[in-house]
Amino acid sequence: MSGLEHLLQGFQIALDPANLMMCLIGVILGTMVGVLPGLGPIEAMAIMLPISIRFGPLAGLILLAGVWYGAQYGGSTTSILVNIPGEASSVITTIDGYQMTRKGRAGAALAVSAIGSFVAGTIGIVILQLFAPPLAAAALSFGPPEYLAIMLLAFVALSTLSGDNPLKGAMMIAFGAFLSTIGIDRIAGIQRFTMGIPNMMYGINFVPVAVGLFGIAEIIRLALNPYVPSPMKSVRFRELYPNREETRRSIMPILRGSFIGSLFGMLPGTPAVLASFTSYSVEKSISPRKAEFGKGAIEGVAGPESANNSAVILALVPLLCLGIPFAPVAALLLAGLEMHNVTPGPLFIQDNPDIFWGFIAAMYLGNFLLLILNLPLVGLFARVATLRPRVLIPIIGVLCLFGSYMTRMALFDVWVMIGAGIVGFILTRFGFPLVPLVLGMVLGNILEDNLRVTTQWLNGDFSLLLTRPITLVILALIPVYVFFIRLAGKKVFRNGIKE
Amino acid sequence: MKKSILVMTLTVFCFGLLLTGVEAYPEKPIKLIIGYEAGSATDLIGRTFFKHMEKELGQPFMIVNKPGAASALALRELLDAKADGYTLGMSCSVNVLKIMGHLPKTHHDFDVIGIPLLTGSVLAVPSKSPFQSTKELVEYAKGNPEKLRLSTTSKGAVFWIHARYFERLTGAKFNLISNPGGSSFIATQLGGAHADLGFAAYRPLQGQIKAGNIRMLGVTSEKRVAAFPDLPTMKEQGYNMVVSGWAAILAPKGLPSDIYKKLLDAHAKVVGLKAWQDFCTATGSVGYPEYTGEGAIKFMDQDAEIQKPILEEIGAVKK
Repeated sequence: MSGLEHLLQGFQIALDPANLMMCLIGVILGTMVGVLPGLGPIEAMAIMLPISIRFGPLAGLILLAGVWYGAQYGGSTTSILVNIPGEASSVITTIDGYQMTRKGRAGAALAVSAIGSFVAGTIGIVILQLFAPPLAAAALSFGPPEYLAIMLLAFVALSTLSGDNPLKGAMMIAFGAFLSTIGIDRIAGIQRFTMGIPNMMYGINFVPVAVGLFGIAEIIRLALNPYVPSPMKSVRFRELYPNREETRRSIMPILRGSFIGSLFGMLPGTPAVLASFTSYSVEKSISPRKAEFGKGAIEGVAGPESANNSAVILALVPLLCLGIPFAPVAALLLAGLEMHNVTPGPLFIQDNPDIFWGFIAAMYLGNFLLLILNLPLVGLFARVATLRPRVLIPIIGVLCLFGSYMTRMALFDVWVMIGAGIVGFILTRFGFPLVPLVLGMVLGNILEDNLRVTTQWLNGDFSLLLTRPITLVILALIPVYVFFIRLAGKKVFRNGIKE
Repeated sequence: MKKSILVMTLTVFCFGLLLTGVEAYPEKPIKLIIGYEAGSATDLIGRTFFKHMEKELGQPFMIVNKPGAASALALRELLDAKADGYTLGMSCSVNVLKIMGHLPKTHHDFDVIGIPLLTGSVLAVPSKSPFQSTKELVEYAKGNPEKLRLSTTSKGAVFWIHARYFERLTGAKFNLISNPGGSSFIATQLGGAHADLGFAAYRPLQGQIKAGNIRMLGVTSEKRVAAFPDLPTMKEQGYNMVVSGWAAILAPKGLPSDIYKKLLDAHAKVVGLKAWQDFCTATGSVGYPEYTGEGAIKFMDQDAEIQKPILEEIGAVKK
């Protein structure tokens, strides 16, 4: 009961005009940087940090966090409209989101993504509010072997993404994993495959590769057939939004995505991209309409977009309740609080109830503001889908250039992007799926890091694993997961045919 | 006669132009290249410090993040920039990049402005740990080589080097666990007692220290740190271990002397400001106004001497 009381008090604080203003500025800025590919929330937050400090710890926190979760709303816009992932976590949305656009359902995809983000964000905040302290304590009981076990489980769950031809899919995962090893090794500090080129030391950046693989490849595809008429001549208002069938199919993926995202978000140091990939994989495995995935299934937009948002909200748990900033974003929020001598950590909620509950309430408000802000934008953005290829190609081109350059202001990344585009086009021509390649790049690093930290931790004594019950349970879940997913998939599939 | 007057007026005119040019520095925004990602520890230090520098110099700073190769990519760009005081850079490893083979230059190839803050490594253990002092821990470790797990940053990174330096000074051997990224994983591994000890920055440990999950045994700073005045230094405990992580502000070599002096003065003044000293205290660091120009160069020379044999040992040194 006292929780509700605290929350009401929090709303009172958050509705203070100054705090509300900060919230509004934050989410508008966030939506803007989210829509532009390459320009991420981190840069925007770093710029806002000195400004935010002037307004006290709470208003500053509200402003910075608003930019952060606001950016997650806009991130999928370019994925859906022009096949360019705005950031890592919306790569998976390009698959079905862009196909929906080509079928003339861009408005529905954008709207479902906004609504899913809102629902997932709200669920995420509820979980954060109710369970943050015990969750944080649980996260501490996870050591290196537990993280490794979870990553292995995720890897198995994601293997369904390898496409129709498992061999080609496996080759692409391996290629992606290889790309992720280029650069200065994150643990031993030695150079791998850099060929002495200074820019290679930083490694092959994920964003330019994704932008190239999807965006540039799309330009080439459009340019080869410039006379194909665009799918939509004009958009009527009612057609913009999801129809009844689409809404019905989105509800469960949104809920499932929210919980998958919450789980991954709480694991310190796990990027949100893993959550959206896993959600997509789960939706694809259990869907009765497997064949539709990759051709514009709305579940493939609803699930990952929701997972992404709840993951982002729950990534605040390690920061607020352990005081440990894992992501750069969390480090920025921490810096904002420290300037006012507020230390997040296990005692944070107890010592600073006003800040914690005001912040929670502000997040509820921010999420709502984002929904109001984003739904009208759907109509505006959906018109992009009515453009002819000769108008669309230069727009996509400029967005690709901008997106890959902006991530770290290096011309090198633009070349990487163009190279990735050409390679992506050739690979697609020969029937190699691109998503496993991207997946390999993301997972390669995480798996490698965890494996190497764990082997150092074990120091050659693998029997130590037997002393870790949590690890054993998670490892045992892997065959169970495979079994049930297969079963569920088959059963639903058969029923679907009977109907 | 006429000619000489013309020459004279021209000379005076040019001289005047030159003078006003110098007086006016800085007359446009200054670019600062930070060799690390936005939101990283050094980035936050830079952004806070240059907020104060802006007030001192009266011009805004444009901050550009160029991460990669332990800041070597950013320094490459700085080397190519004009030495006019309108491009500065920040690095935490400029003095060892040459021996590591990342950049064929050292801090002597730049005009060093200064080191705004130094952060000593904290030797920390989980609170349930039986060790109450550094001495107890070292004694046990000597009898049980490689038994204790020491969690630290990636091989060759600053806290890893401090951990190896600790091994060299004490003769103890640990099972060193290198973690990717910053010190955050060290905080969870210590907080959850998955490791026996760790070398890390104070900041990411702070929340867990205040919650009573992590205990500190010593700090490698020269003097006690204002953020935790009760914690003895390593030197006090009988180990001559005085090392720190740091960040240096650099400019391309050959700045006009008056601009260089203006930057040095501004640096020394800002480091002495109460606001900056408060920031240092909050982050468990120290800032010395003496570490401006020459003082900073001398410090980086000494620091390179400490790091070199350790880097040589792991084969990170390029011949």
